[in-house]
Amino acid sequence: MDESLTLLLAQANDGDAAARNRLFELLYADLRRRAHAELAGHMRNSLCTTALVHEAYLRLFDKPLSVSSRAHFFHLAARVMRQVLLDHVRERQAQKRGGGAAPVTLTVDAAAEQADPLPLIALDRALNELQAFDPQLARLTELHVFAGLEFAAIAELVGTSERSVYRDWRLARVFLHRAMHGEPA
Amino acid sequence: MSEETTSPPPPAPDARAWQLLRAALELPAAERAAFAAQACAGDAALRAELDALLARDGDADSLLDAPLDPQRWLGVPAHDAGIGSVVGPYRIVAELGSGGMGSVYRAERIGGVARHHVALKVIKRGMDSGEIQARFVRERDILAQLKHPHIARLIDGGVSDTGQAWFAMELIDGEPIGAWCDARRLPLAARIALFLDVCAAVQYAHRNLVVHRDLKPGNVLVSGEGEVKLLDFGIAKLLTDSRDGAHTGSQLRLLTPEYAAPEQFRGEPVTTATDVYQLGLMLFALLSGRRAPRAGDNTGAAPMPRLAAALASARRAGEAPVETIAAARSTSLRALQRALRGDLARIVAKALADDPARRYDSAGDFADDLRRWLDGRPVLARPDSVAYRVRRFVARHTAGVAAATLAALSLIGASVYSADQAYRARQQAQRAEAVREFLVGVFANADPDENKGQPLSAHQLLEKGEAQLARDAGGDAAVAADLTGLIGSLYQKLGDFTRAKELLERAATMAGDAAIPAAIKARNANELARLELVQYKFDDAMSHAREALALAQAAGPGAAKENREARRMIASALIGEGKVKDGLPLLREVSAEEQQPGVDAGANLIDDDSLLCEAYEFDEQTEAAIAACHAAIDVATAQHRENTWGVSLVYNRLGTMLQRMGRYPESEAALREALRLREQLHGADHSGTVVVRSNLMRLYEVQGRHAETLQGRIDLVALARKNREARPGELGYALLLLGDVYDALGRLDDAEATLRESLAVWTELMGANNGKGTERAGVLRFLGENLQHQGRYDEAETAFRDAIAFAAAQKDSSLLAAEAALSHADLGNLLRLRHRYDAALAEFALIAPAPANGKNVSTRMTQIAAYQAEAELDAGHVAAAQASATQAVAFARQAYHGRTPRVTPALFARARAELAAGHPVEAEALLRETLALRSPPHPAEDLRVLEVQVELARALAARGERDAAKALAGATATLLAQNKTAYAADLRQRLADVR
Repeated sequence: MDESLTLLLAQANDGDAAARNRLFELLYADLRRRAHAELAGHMRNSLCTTALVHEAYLRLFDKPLSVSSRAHFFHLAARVMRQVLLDHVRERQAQKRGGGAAPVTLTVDAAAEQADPLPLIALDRALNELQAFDPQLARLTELHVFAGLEFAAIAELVGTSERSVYRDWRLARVFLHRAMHGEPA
Repeated sequence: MSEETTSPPPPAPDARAWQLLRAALELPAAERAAFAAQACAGDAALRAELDALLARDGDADSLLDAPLDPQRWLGVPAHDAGIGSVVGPYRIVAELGSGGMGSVYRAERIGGVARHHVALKVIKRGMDSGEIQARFVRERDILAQLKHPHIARLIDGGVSDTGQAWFAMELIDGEPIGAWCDARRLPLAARIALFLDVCAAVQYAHRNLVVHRDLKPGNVLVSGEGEVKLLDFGIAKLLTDSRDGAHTGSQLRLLTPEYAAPEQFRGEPVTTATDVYQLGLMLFALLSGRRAPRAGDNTGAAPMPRLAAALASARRAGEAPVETIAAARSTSLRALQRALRGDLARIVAKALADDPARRYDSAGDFADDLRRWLDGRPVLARPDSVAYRVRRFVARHTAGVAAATLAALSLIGASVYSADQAYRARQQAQRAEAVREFLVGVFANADPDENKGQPLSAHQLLEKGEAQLARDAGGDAAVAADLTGLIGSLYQKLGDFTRAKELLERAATMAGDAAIPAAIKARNANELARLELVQYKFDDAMSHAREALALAQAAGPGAAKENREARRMIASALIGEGKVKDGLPLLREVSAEEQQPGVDAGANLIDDDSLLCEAYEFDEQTEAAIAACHAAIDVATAQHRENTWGVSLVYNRLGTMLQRMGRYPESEAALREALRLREQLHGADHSGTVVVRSNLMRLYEVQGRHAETLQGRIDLVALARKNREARPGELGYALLLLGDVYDALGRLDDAEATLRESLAVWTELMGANNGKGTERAGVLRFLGENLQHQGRYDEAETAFRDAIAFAAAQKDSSLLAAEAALSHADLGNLLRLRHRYDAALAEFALIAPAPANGKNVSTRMTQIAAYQAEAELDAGHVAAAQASATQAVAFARQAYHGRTPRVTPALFARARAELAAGHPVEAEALLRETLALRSPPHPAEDLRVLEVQVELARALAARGERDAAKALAGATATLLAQNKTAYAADLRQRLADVR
């Protein structure tokens, strides 16, 4: 798996769309499986996407990647993770409505049911908006939120300073908040 | 909430307002209002817009911020340790930060006597808290006892009500070490002194068997007073510990990839060397203000991080400009660059070695070397010296190559050039020096960086040597010839025959140059001959060896070694052609000379014994051959060369001889030893290793275990095809042996195709060799037998006759005599099957008696006598048949020990004879034994199995067991019906009595 992945990554890096798609597929299948495995069982409802992405990185490549490859990987992984979560939430919604979708075994505790989750789907939509408005901010958000990278790490990948990253993050937040919660009355 | 049906999203924010927001966020909060007022002067709408955005910045704080927890979005309650909440016996007072593992808070002890604050680390959800807690209980004593002035103490730990693990640690008020040093503009020496404290802490922990595993800059704080404190000691261990110390999947996730050591990536166990690596990274940054380039970075820097180069390289995100870096170290840029070269760079590089074994063994050693640097003393970290590389190269590769190389080097020291007067002596010394320098240069130029830190292989070194030689072509012709020949012979030792041939032939063309000493020409000619021997080109080998001999004789006593070598090559060529009688004496002569005192023959002694062994074997003096083998091994051991190529050669010969003698367990042991040596020396696909692999398979096949070797044989054929040009004989053998396996397994068509291909290969090879060589006869016989099994008697007869004719044409080879005898026997057997009994018997009469050496029972006698017995039987001479059969069995029992199908022709012949003579009971016993030995490997419908069953049915009938006989006969007849050959028809006929 390792060698061809690195190759795919390099090709994707060079702009090869087919390679990128393939990589996405592979990662998606991989992360989705693991996410489901965690959700489905012993880990008590917990899903640490950061951990999953990091683990995937360390598991799939046996040596550190170059900065640009790493950047590419994490961007992709963040996308994948976003997709995985989204799909999961949608499935659960369908379940709740009795949609007959294949149930993901999930031990849900009552308290969780009553919790008011941040609407992931709304976030997803808002992210799409942000993508149209300022793609760089959108990618930053994905890296931070879905791949769980800390600002220092993002700074290195993106090639700016940590301060800039933090500032951009706040900008992104403003946008997303606005998009998700509308204008104040 | 129905997120699918929401109101349309608000329009994107106003572009100008957004720009202003961007700028405003750069400012401290207090100044923003003023900025907004100024920037929006006059534009109320813009101002309103901006204010709204700024307000949202405040709102957004609570919503999306750390600790980010996507699981909240899945309906799982977030971890809720917020200010004021209680975790264990602590109450959270403030949040200090968050990281990969969880968040850190300032917390106070509830009901504590004094206001005692701790740093409370609450581990994220997603970790298995129960397991963590269990480990903590186990480790708590050790961790709590880590009392060191520079280690933040672990105070307590537990699991909270929300099910999260937590740890309470000594609260440290300080800055990360990098920032602390920069703020005070500490010069290098002072930084290093501080760093020594860090090392001391790590060393202390290591002595208590605690490895940190996560030493990143954020984990090293310095207090206002300059006290270093390491945080999180042992936490990583608690969270990731597994029984065997290696990382499994779920444990990898906690690593901070930016600071992970190479072995952590590879999932290998974490050791103190891992901490050393991370300390190295830390020091690198402390000294150079830059992050160490990691392997794979696009910085263009070598994988080995160079301190000074880091300054020179382009600035990366978050790094200060070089002037700032120098200023933060209270020095000038130039002085800084100077200081970062030399020993300091070496120290850092050693700590950052990719291979843990090459780093400092401990933080203490690391610190010691730094202290040495501070004191101005020489440091232990040193670049790879030429000597080190040479030693490493030699150790890594075949002792044969090493011996050759060292021999070459020492040869240069010895007087290889014709000794003459002072002039010549000087010349020779110069040349010797030139060659020595060249070789040393090849090693010295072997930059480990070039190969990504991996040592260069011997082959790569030779390639470099060759390239170097091409560049220096204009130089001394003698040196060039010498080196060309030397490198060529080294290539041969490595098994790269193509390259070897190229170089050696080139060296041979240089022979016309009078400037080259005769001894060098002789040596090159010898090497070329050696190569040609391996490739079965006996004529070429012979001519080159003769040439070498002439040259060596002309050169006089100075070329005594080449002289012996040439004679040895000639002897080998003779033996290879099968002219053992001629080759053996010559070989003994050389061997005797080399055993004279004062003659430095070295490894040649082993070769001699080995060759002797080969010669004896050809001559069928097996005991002598075995003795020679053991002698060779003894000599090798005495010379400490037991792990060499030469010894593997001996073991291989020994193994094959023992197998031929039927001593299977000993054979397997010897062959496996040979295999082990060769795999170790050259890997699994090397031609020499292949030979042994094949021999081991042969051993199994002799025992009838063909099914086990089929795939291996197929693999070897594929490999041989790949290497056809370089190793032509290999394909011929591989195909022959594969064909034999197919035949035994009853896959007669596959066998035929394979054997025909083998024949073609041998014919081509020998066509190029004036028709010499013994293998073709063997293949013809195998092919003949195969055709006979298929019932194609005409073609089989042709094949056997061809074999006989071929063997007859090669009069002076004892091995071919054996082939001839067997071919006659095969032909006789075939004639019997064709019912031409007189012709069959006549054929057997043609067979020359075997050498009258009663001790060594040749396996071929078994076969010959067995076939003869059957021929006599079918011709009606029962008594003669009995006699022959009895002899056959006697031969078989002596030749073979253990179970092998090869005794079955004899057993079967005897059984038939006994039955014909009216002894069904004896016959039955023999037949049952035969059957057991033939099936497997032969399939149930194979005639070699069915013929036995036919006789068995007849024997049972003769004993009066009519029911059993009929049952067996019926079953056998059914299978026979499927077979259209003449022999099957004969067998059905024989069954008729029974049914």
